[in-house]
Amino acid sequence: MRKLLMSMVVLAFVVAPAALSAQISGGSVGASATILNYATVTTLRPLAFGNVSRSAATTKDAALTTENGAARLDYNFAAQITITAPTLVSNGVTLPMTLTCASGATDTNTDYAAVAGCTFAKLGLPTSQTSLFLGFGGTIANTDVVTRPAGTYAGNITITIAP
Amino acid sequence: MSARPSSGWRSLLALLGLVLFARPWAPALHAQSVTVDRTQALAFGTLWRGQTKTVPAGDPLYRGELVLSGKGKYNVSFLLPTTLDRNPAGAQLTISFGAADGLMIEKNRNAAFDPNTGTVVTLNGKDPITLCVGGTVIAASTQAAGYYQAQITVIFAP
Repeated sequence: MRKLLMSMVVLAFVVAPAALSAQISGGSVGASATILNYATVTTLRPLAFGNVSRSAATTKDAALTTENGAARLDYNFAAQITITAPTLVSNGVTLPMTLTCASGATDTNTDYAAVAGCTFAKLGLPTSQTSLFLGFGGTIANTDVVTRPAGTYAGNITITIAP
Repeated sequence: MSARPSSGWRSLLALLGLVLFARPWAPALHAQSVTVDRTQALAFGTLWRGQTKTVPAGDPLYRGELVLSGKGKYNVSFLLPTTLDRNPAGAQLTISFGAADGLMIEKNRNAAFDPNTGTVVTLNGKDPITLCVGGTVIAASTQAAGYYQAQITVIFAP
């Protein structure tokens, strides 16, 4: 009997390797999606110089909400913002102006900071859609005013958002 | 000289008998094997922020697929991601799997299953079985742009 038991022990070793071959195995499948770029520009208020002086330059501060024109940008990608200054025109006559820019996380004086030359560095890749507020100001020289006919001069500031 | 085998011979014969008895089982256990021959990624393509997009398990172009071959019966379980991740900058896109987002395609039948609970496959050594996985991604209204991805891990246990 003892030898028989010994034999069964030997048998157990013979069979065991077969059972070990039935192991857990696995595989994997990728899953992917691409979220498209999105951007909007909403005008909050126009840049309004009002009545401009013939004796002194008229200036509006880009970083003051009581003076600036403002727009809100919503975007979800690493955006490059480009600003094109307006050409103010009345009945075919242009009135030169210099444009100044500011940007901030909110439309408040405390958040707005000047952007030199209205040249924006490329914005970072956000982790979610985010907003940026742009303030616009500028100066109309009185020397240009005196040589222009009376009238309402208007134009558009163009904001371009690109990846 | 005795006509009866000694106790040593009896043990040897018993061992031989047991081995012969046991051998038919051994090949069956050795034959337990599963191979993933081919995979296809679950592809949601492009979507806008705020959009929900579903790829059904029955969609042959965009569903995830594993084509299996081998022999044996396996419990199949899935380690399902809850988000797809964007690199760089760590944004996440929610993904979910419903009760009908699994589909097993065998030679003569298709059977839906819930990938959250898994299924059982029986491979016959000849015909492949295709496991298909669909799902739904939900882009938040503030979802950042980019390419999001994750892995679905499939485990086969005998």
